[in-house]
Amino acid sequence: MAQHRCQAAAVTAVKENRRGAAGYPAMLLLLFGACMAATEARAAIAPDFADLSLEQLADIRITSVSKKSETLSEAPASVFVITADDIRRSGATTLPEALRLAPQLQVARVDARNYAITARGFNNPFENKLLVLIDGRTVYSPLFSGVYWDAQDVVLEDIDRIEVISGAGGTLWGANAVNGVINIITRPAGDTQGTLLDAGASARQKIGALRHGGKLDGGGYYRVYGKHAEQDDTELNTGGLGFDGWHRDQAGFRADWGGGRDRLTLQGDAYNGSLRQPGTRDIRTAGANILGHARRTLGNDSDLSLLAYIDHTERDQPGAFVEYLDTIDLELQRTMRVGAAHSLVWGAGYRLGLDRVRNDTNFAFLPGSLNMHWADVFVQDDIALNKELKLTLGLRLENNGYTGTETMPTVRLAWKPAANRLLWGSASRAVRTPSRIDHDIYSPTNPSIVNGVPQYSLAGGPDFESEVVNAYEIGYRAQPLPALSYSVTAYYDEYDRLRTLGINPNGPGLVFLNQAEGETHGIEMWGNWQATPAWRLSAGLVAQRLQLRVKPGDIDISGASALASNDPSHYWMLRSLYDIDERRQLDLTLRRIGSLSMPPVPAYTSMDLRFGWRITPSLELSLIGQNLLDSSHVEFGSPAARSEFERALFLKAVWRL
Amino acid sequence: MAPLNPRLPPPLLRAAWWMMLALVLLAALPAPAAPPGAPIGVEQAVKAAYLYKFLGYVQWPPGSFPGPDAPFVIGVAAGDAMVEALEQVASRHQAKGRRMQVRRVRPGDSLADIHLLYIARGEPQSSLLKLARQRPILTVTDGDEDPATAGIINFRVIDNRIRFDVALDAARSSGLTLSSRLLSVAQSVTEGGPQ
Repeated sequence: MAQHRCQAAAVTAVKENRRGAAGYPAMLLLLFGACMAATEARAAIAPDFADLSLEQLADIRITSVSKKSETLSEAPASVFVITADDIRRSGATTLPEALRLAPQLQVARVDARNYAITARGFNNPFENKLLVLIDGRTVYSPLFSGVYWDAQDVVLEDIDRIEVISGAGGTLWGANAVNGVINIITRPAGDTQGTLLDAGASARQKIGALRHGGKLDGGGYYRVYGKHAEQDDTELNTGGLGFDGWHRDQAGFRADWGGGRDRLTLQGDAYNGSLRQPGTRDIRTAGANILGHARRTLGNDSDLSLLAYIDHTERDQPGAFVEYLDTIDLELQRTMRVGAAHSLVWGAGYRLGLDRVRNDTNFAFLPGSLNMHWADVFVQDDIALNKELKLTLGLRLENNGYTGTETMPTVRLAWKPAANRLLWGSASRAVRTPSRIDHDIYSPTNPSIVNGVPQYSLAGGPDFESEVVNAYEIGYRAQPLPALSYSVTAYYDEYDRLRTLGINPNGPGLVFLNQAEGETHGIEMWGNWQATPAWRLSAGLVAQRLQLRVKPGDIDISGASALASNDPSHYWMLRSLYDIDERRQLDLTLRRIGSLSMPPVPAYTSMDLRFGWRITPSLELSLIGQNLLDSSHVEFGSPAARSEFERALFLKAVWRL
Repeated sequence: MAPLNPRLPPPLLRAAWWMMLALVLLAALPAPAAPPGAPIGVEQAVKAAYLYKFLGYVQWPPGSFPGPDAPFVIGVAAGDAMVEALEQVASRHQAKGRRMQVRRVRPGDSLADIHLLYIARGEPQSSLLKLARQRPILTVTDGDEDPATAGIINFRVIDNRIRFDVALDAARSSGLTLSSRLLSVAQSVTEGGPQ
């Protein structure tokens, strides 16, 4: 219909022009813009919606409100979206476990509370090249340059989707999105109405969440939630206990107003956790955040977004440090269409981090108290070269207190010969800017002093620069049949100035330097096949090779300090989701991770099986068998002592009242 | 096809051949048939798919169909795009083994053999709804904020997605039985809906 109207309008315009109406070219441009949008919408409906399930229909976006999320499925990038239904049917019980659903991600569980999660290699518990955001709030720690997975949580039922973008994403997402970005996006409050009680337990794990949503006077929606999660110590391969169990209580809220032209979100969370570690009292974690997000639609493909948040975290880790970090962040983003061919997104941001560290005796972050500033501007232009070719040019400038202004450009080209095929290529540069662990860490805290010179065995990285990647990708996505879709991405990434631990040229001991470089290449692929209306199969595979080396004449001793990465040559997964009938589901996940070399971890294959039974419309039970193929396996760590993950049975009930 | 560079070492040559073969295969895959007729907005297409899906999750009372082969009759009080979207679905799918017949209705029309009545936003609905409520007709309205004038199922747009509410009492008084699956996907299920 829309196209008919477009043609009719164009004819009218031509007729008016013949009558001598002014402004014809401008009008034609406007009309072209409108028709383009209609054509895009038409392309989007090429698959037959009637083949989808009720749940899948409920997940389809009907218009382009957010330029960024709209372009994600069309984006010339390696994007995988974990849906709420994926999470529910995977039987994942924690946030890091849910991330295993993204085929590009390598998720290795280190112990009861620590994970090593990455894309495109460089995995270890101190992984530092992956940016993670929850509803736009960064949870990447500027202290240790990574994510404390033991402090991040959401109610899994309230997750709308998790967007996983592998590859350099610095232009849109900023520094530290070197190998990828994980966007955890929770549902709007209007989508979580009523009361939900979620309770689950296995022999070593207990989770309970209560959430209530309702309407606000004056048109908005709200939800409030409380959640408790706990995990017992793991058993070590040596027979003892890992002393790594934890428990955490978290509560929060979200309110949403509007839905048409203006939308406003206000949300916040607070948590308090206790984590065991061997030989000391427990680690105490706590945090709270409040976030506001205002969005206004200004017209066709044009909107304005303002995001602001304050985040407070505390971590009291006996024998290491006590950190209090307050972050204030402000992000402005504008999307607009310029003429018929240009779709522009630009923005600016400012973040302030007030870091207060109380140091222990073994090592110290100096100065203990540091105010950090980050400021950025970015612009990205999607240029429609013709009906099939789209060129993307983007640039971000980001300023940080350690290395000044960093440049993160991208060039992408997408060729879409038909609605069901997309061939794309990209070249991008991204950086990991220094964190306090790269620059400010000293050991011991109180060194002996010889001739006025403190004899640090580790004296920070006073000259530490940003790590940098030049990433090249080529990808192909297709939906050859309505029930079959797949994506293949090949990449070649060149890294320079990677972190090394070398000999201090200016004094005793060691310092952090940037003396490593290397190349990685690999292939990421996944596919989805709706074999019958009741049976869906999906598969993912990553094969990769990392060739990293210390520059000639230098040494790196970080291999002994767990800073080195440990990556398999390949990992794959296979999922089968089967509706036995309209109340019962049987879901299977099989995954294989290749062996790791340093320290050696054998390859393993693991299977999870979930039986879901909707006993009444409001009550659903899930029985989840975890790690069914062997009595236990290890995923990371030194053979001297590491956690084993056992076969387990998890029972979960979700009531919707 | 131009010969590959013979100086390439054999493993690379093999890889190149595989790559080309893969590309040729990819290029040869057929594009799915474009839907015939005019393009339809995503919103209409999703709603039409919902209406079709609803048929599978609702039980009509005995005697609602004149025969075992009789079609589902879907009454539509909506614009052209919605009618067309529904006709596309009807042309490709059957619900519970029955064909679907799409019929445009206007206030005053008889609703005698209609099973599902969809009334779009902005259409005059009160007279149609009043008439439909006396019969085993699954009424579906669109974004009606007032439960007194909403249908058994009422579409709502939430965060740019189409969801729906269900009024269970209204369904019961019309003699319809809704499946638990439908209720579990519903945004909200009200027991004390309009009578």
